[in-house]
Amino acid sequence: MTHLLTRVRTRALARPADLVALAVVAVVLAWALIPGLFTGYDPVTGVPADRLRPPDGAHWFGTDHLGRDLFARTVHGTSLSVRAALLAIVVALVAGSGIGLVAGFLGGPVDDALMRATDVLLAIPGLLLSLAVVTALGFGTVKVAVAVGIASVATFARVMRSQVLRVRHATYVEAARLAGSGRAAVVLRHVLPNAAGPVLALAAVELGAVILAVSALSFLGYGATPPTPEWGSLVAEGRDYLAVAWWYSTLPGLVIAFFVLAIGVLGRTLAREGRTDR
Amino acid sequence: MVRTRPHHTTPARTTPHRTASHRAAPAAVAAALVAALALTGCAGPDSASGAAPADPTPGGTLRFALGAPPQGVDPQQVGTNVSIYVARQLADSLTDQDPATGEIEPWLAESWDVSEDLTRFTFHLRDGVTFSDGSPLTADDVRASFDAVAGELGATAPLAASYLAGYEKTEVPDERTATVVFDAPNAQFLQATSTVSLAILSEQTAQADPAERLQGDVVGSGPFVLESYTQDQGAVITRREGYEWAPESSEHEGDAYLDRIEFSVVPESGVRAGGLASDQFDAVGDVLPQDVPQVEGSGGEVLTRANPGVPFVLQPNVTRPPLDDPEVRRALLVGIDRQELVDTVLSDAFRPATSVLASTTPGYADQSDQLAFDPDEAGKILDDAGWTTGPDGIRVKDGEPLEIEVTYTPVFTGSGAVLELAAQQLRAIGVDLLLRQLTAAEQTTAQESGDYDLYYYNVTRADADILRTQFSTAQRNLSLREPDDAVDPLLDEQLGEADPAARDALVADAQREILDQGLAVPLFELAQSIGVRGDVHGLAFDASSRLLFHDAWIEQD
Repeated sequence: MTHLLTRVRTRALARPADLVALAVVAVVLAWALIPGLFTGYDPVTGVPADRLRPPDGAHWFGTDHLGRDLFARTVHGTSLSVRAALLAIVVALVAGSGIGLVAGFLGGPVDDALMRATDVLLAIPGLLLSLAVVTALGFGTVKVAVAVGIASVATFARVMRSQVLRVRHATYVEAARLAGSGRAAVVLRHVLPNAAGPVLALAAVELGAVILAVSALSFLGYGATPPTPEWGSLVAEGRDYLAVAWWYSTLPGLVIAFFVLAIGVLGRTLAREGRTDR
Repeated sequence: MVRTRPHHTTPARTTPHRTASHRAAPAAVAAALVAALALTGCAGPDSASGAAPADPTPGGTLRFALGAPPQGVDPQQVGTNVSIYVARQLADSLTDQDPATGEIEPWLAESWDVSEDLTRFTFHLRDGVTFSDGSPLTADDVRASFDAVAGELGATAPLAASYLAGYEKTEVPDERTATVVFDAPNAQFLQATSTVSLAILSEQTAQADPAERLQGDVVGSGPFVLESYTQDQGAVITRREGYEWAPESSEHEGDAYLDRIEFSVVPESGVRAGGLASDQFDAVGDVLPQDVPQVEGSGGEVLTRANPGVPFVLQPNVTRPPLDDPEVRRALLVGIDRQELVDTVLSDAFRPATSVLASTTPGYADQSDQLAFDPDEAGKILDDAGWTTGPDGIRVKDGEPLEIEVTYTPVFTGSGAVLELAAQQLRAIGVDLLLRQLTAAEQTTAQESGDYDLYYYNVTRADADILRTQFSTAQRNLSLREPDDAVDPLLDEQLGEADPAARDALVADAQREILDQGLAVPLFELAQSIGVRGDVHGLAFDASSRLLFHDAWIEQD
C-alpha cells in the first residue's frame, strides 16, 4: 500500500484523477473503519414518523421506509461491503496464485490438468458461478465473499502462471538451482517475488469488479440479513420505492459507483506503473 | 335429520348488477332493473373511475401481476393467496359462502342435510355439471376427491386434510347424492366445503401424482381451464365454454366474460404499480401504500378486503429457550406497537391484530386489552423474570442474551418491512429479534424439524375452527407444546357444538386462553389489496378474500 501511495504521490501532479480517486477511497475506507465519526444516527433504529423523507440538512441521503437515516446506513454498511470485497480478493489471490504457481513451475501433466480446470471455471460467467456457490454455501456476507472469490480464482491463476513461465527459465533461477537450492526455496525466494507484481496489480483492478459482484449478490438477497445495512441490500430495499423516493436506491448506488470508479482508476495506475518498471 | 335447504330468493346485494340473475322470475328481473338503474344513478361502487361502466362486454385478455410465485395450480394442495388466485378459477366447491353475509349457499350441491350430531353431511348434487374434459361431475368424484385428501394427498395438502379430520368415508347411494361421514361431530365441515381446498376435482385427478397435479395435471369444473403453468413465472388460463353453474353470489350466470387471464410473477411492488400505470398489466396484487398514488393517478383504483382467519402472527416454539419462558412470550405480546406497523409500512386496508382471529372471522372476540402496546409493562415483565439489561441494550439472563430468531418466507410483499419494524420496537425493550428469511421449501424443512424460535405466518379461513387447526396439539401445533387441559378441550368442544352462540363462546374462551399462554403474538390482519385499471370491472372477492374472475370484464372498444 505504501508503495502504491508513493507511486501515486510522485505522479499526482501529472494525473489529478489519481488524487481525486485516492481521496474517494480514503474517505470510504475511513467510513469502514470509524463509521461513528461521520454520522450520529443509529443505522438500524429509525423514527417511523420520519419515513421516506427526501435528503436535507438533517438527513443527507434522506430516510428509508422505516425512518432510518440512509446516510448512516450507507456509512455503517461500508465496513461489511468493503471487508467482503477484500476477503473475496484474498480468496481469489491466494487460491489463484497457488494454482498458477504450481502449474507454471511444474509444467507438464500437472499444468495441463490445472489449466483445463481453470478453463472450465472461465467458461462459466462469474456472477452465475458465484450464485451457484453461494446457493450451496448458504446466505451471509462471508459466504458471499467466498463465492465471489472462487469465481475470480481462474483469472488470477492464469496471470500468475504466465508470469511464472516468464521467470522460470531466467538465469538467476537456473543459477539458484545449480547452486543447490531446493525446489520450494527457489519458488518462494526467486520465482514468487518476481512474478507477483502483475498479479498484485490485477488484484487492485479486480477489486472494483469484486465490490460490484458482492453488492450484486447482496442486492439479490444472499448477503447479510436485515436490518444489517450493506451496500447492495440498501439499493435492493429501495426498489419498491423508486417511484416515490428516488433517493433511496440512487444515493447508495452512487456511492458504490464512485468507489468502484476510484478503485478502478488507482488500479489502472498501478498496473501501468508495473508495466513501465519492467 | 335437520333439513337445511337454503332458500333461493335473492337477498339485497351491494352491487347493482348482482340482482340481474337469469334464474330470477320476469317480475324479479324488472324489479332488479329498476334497482340497478336507481343504484347506477347514485354512483354504484363500480363507478369509482368516474363514468358508470356500461354493460359487461365479453372478450379480451386480462394481464395480472402476482406479488409472489404460486406454489402450483392444484386447488386442493395450495394455500397461499397468489396460488389460490389461479387455482380457484379452475374448480368449484360443493357450497359457496356469501362474502357479505357469511351464509353457506348452494353451488355444486343444490341442497344438503346435516345430522343432529354433526357427523353425517349429505349433499344433493346439481344436475348437468361437467368437468372441463367433458365428463359429468358425479357423487363418485366427490368421494374420490375427499378420499384422496383424507388419504395420501393429505401430506402435501395440510389445509384440506385438516378440514377432513375424523373423516371416515363418503357414501354414494346414487349418482347425485354423497354422504360424508365423520367419526366425531364436525361443526366446521359445512363451511369447509365452500373453500378452495375442498374443491371438487375429477376422479382421474384424484388418482394423479400430487407433484404432477401441482404442475397442472388437474381437471375441475370451474369457469376457466389451465392453458399453461410455468413454475416461478406464471400461468395462463382460458375461458371454458358452457359453464352454467355459477353460485348465487356471482353477478351473472353462464360463461365468464374474459377470454384469457395471463398471470405473471412480479416480486417488486413498485414494478407492479408502474406496470399497471404504463398499461403492461390490467390488475396487480399486493398494492403497498407507497404505490397507491401511482395506481389511482393512472385512473385505476385499489380494491381491498380483509382476510378472515388467523392474522399474521409470530408463533413461538415453546421447547426452545428463551421462548420456553411464558413471561418472555407475555412481554412480546405487549412490546409490539401494532398500530405503528400498520401506519408505517402497510396501508389503510390493513388493521392491527386484536386477537388470534382476524376481526372478519365468524366467532372473533376482541382481545385488544391483552395486546395493548405498553413497553413499560413489557420491560417490567422481563425485569421480574430475571432478564437484566446488558451493555448493548439487549437483556441478559444467566449469561444468555435475549435473542429470538423469526423464521419467515416472503409470501406477502410487506413481510420484511413489518418484521424489521417489529424488531426495532422489540429492541427498545431489550429483545433482539433476528430475521431469518427462507424459501418456501426451506421453511417446510425448518417446520418439520422444529428448527425455529418464532414462526411467522397467517392462515385465511372464514371459520373459527382455524384455531383448532393451528393450535391444537393434535393438529399443526407449531408451538410444539404438550397437550393441556385448557386450550385443547376448548378447541375440541367447539368442533362438536351445533349451537352457534355456544360455539362462539367456546371460541372466545379459546382466543383468550391462547393469548394468556402467549402461544401466538398477533401482528396485523392481512388484507387483499388489488390494483385495477379504470377499464377493468367486476373483479370480486370471495368470502375468504380471494379473487374471483368469473364476473370480471374489460371495456372493449
